[in-house]
Amino acid sequence: MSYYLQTLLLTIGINMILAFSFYVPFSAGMISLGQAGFMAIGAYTAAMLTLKLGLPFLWAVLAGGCLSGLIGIVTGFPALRIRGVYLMLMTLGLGEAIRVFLLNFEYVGGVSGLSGIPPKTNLTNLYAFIFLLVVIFSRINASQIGRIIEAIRENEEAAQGMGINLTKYKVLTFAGGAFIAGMGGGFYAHYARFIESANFGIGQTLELMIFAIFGGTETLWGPILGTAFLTLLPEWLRPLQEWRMFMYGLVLLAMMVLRPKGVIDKSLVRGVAHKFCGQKKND
Amino acid sequence: MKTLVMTDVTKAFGGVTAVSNVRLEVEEGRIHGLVGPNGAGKTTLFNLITGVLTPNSGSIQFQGRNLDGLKPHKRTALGICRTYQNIKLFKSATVLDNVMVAMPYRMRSAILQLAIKSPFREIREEKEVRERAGALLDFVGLYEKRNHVASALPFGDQRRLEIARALATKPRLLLLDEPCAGMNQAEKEPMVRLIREIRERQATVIVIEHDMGMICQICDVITVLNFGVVIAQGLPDSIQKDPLVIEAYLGDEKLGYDE
Amino acid sequence: MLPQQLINGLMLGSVYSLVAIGFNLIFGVLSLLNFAHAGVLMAGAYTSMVLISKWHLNIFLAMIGAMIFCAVLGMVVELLAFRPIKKEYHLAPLIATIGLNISIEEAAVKIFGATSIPFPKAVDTHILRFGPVQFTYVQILILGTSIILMLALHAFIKRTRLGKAIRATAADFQMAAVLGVSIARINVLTFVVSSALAGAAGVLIGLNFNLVNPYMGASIVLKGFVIILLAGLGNIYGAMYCGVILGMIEVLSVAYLSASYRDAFAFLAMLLILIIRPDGLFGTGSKR
Repeated sequence: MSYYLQTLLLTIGINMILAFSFYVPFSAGMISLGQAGFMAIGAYTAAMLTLKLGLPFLWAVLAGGCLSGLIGIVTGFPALRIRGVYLMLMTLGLGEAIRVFLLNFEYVGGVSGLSGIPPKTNLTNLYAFIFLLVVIFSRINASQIGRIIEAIRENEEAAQGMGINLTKYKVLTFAGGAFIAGMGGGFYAHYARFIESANFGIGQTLELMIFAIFGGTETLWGPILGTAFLTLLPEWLRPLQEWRMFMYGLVLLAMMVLRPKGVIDKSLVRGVAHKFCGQKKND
Repeated sequence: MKTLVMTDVTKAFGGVTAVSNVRLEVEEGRIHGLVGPNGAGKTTLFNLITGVLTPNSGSIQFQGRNLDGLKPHKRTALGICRTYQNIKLFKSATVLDNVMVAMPYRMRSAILQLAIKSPFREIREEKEVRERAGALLDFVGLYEKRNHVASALPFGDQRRLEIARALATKPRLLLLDEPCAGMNQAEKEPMVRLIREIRERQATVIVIEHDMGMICQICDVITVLNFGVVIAQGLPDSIQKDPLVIEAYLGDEKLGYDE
Repeated sequence: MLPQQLINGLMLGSVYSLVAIGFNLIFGVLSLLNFAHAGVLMAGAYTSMVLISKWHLNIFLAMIGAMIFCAVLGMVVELLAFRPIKKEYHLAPLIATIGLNISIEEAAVKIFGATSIPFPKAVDTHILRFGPVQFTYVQILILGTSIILMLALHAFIKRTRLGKAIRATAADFQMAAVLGVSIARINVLTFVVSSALAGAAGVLIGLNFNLVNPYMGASIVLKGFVIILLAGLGNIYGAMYCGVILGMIEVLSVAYLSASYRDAFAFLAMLLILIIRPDGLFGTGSKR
C-alpha cells in the first residue's frame, strides 16, 4: 500500500472518530461544539503518557479518552439546562478555554507544542476501534437505550414525563462524545507525531460538525460515510487545481439543498438493510 | 383511600398567580373531571402534580406519600403519568417505539450489560416489552399502525397514541389533558369508551376537558377552577346547576354540550 | 491612557456591532446562522479596495459601491443556500452557508491571491486631539459611518412599512404571513440589509487594520455569533450595545492583560456572562 493511500486512510479514520464524537451527543439533541477541546485533552494526555511514562500505546489512548470523558461528565452537568444555540456557544467557549489553557501550559509544551510522539497509530488499531464503535452503537441504537435517546431528542419534556431520567442520559451521551473525541485525539497524536494547541481550534470543531451533518445525523452511518466522502472529495477534485476548494464549497451547498437531512437518512438505511439483509430487525 | 391529595397549593409566576390555595382530593379508581375556562390553571395543576412545576406553598400527596422535591421522572416511576394538551409525541419515531420507550424496563439501567454482549437475555426482555407494547396499542386500536412514523398519524390517532404511551408507564394516576380537544362528536365516542376502560383497569383518572356534556357523562366527581381558585366541587348534577359555575362559563363558553 | 483605550474600544466595537446587527437580523427573521456573512464582509473589503485602487473612487463612493455589491451577493446567498431548503430543516441551511462561504473565500483567493494585501490609502493621516484622547481621520470615519448606518437602520426598522414588516416576521412569521406580509420578500430584504451592513463593516475593517485577506471575515463573524448570544437572539439593539462591549473588552484586555489571550478572553467573558444570565444581557426570555 502506498504511503499516500495509507496517510489518506488514517486521516479518514481519525476524522470518522471525531465526527462520531459530534454525532453521539447530537443524537440526544445536544449540539456540542467543544469536541476539539476534548480531542486535545485526549491527544495531550495520550502523548504525555507514551512520551514521559513509556506507557503502551493503547493504554495511553484509552487513558486520554477516559480523562476527556471525565471532563465531559463534569461539564455535562451545567450543559443540562442550556438549550440549542446557547449550548453551542457554551461548548465552543469550553473548547476554546481548553485550547488556550494548553497553549499556556508549559509542562506539555506550551506554545512550542509536543513533538517526537511515537508513530503508533496504524490502520489496524484505528479501524478496529472504529469497528468497535459501529458495533456498540448499532446495538445501543437498536435497544431501549436508543429509543430513550431518540425520545430525549424529540421532546425532552415528554421524555421526562414518561419516566426518563434526563440528567443521566444527557450527561452520559455528552460524556460519551467527549470520550470518543478524546480517543480520536490520542490516535491523532500518534499519527501526526507533533501536536500543538492550534490543531484543536474552532476550525477543527466546525470541520467535524460539517462531516457529521453532511453525512446525516439520523443514523450512525451518516457521520462515518459522510466523513469518508468529504475527506476524499478534495482529492477527487485535484484535477481542478486552484478551483478545487471552490468546488468543494459548492458540493457542500448542493448536497445540503438536495438532501437536507444529510446524505444518509433513516429511510435510506432501512431501504438498504431491507434489500441486503432480507428480514428487517423490527418485525 | 385517596390517590391524590393537594392541600392549599399555590403557584405564582412573577406577579401572576396561576393557582391559589387549591384543595383537591381524588379517590382511588374514580374518573375525576377538572374543568374551567381557559387560563383557569388546570394545566398548571397537572404540571404541579407531575413535578414539572414546584408549588410556592402547599403540599401534594400521592397515595399517602409527599411528593415534595421529587423529580418528574421519579413521580412517573411512582405511578403518575400524563398526556399533553398540545400532543408531545416523539414525532420521528414509530408508533411502537413511542410506546416502548415509556415502559419501565429493567434493561434501561443496564448500560454495561450491553457492552458485555449477552444478546440472549436482552432479546427475551425486548420481546416481552414489544409484546406488551403491542397489547397496549391494540387496546387503543393502533396495532395495525405500529410501524408507522408517529408524525404521519391522523390527529385522533395521535391522541390515542399519547394515551397508549402514558399507559405504558403503568400509571396508578393518569392525567389526561384535553384528550378530546379538536374532535367532533363522532370521534369523541371511542375516546369516552377508552377512558372508561382505563378506569376498569384500576387506574385513577383526572380529565381536563371543555366539553361539559362529555365530562358529566363520564366523571364521577368534578372540580371547577376559575382564575386559579376552586369554585365548585361535587357530583356532575350539582355542578351543572351551580350558579358560580354557570357564571364562570357565561363569559367564556356556553355551559352545556359542546359542538 | 484609559480614555484612549476606551475610544479605541468604541471604534472596534462599533464595527463589531455592524456585523453583529446584520447577523442577528438574519437570525431573528430567518432563524438562520448565516456563515456566509464572513464572505460577504470580506467581499465588501475587497470591492472597496478595487474601487479605490483601480477606479480611483473616494472612500465614500467606494463604501457605497461595496455595500451595493454585498447586497447583491447577499441576495445570491439567500437564493442558493436558504430559499431552496424547507424551513423544518434547521441545520442544513447552516452547512449550506458554510459551503457557500468556502466558495466565496476561495473565489477571492483565486482572484486576489491568498496572502494579505494592504488596503489602499484612502484617508489622510491627520490626527485630531481632544485633551487626553486623539482621533485619526480613519477612526472618525469608522465611528461616524457606524453611527450613521445604525441610525439609518433604526429609522428603517421603526418608521417604514418594510421595517415594520421585518419586525413582524421576526416576531411571528406565520402571523405575519396571515396578515399579508410576503415572507419571501422580507427574507430577501433582510439579507440585503444585513449584507450591506456587513460590506460596510468589511470596508471599515480594511481601513482600520490596513489589511485585507480572503479569510478575514471568519473570526469576526465568530465574534458576531458570540455577540448575538450575549445580546439576546434576534435583539438588534442588544447586538448594537454588545458589539461595543466586546470591542471594549478586547482592547482593554490587550492593553492590560495579555495579547495572546485576546480572542479566548472574549469567549470566556461571554461564557461567564451567559452562565449568569442565560438569556443574554438583553434577552427577552423567549426561546428560539
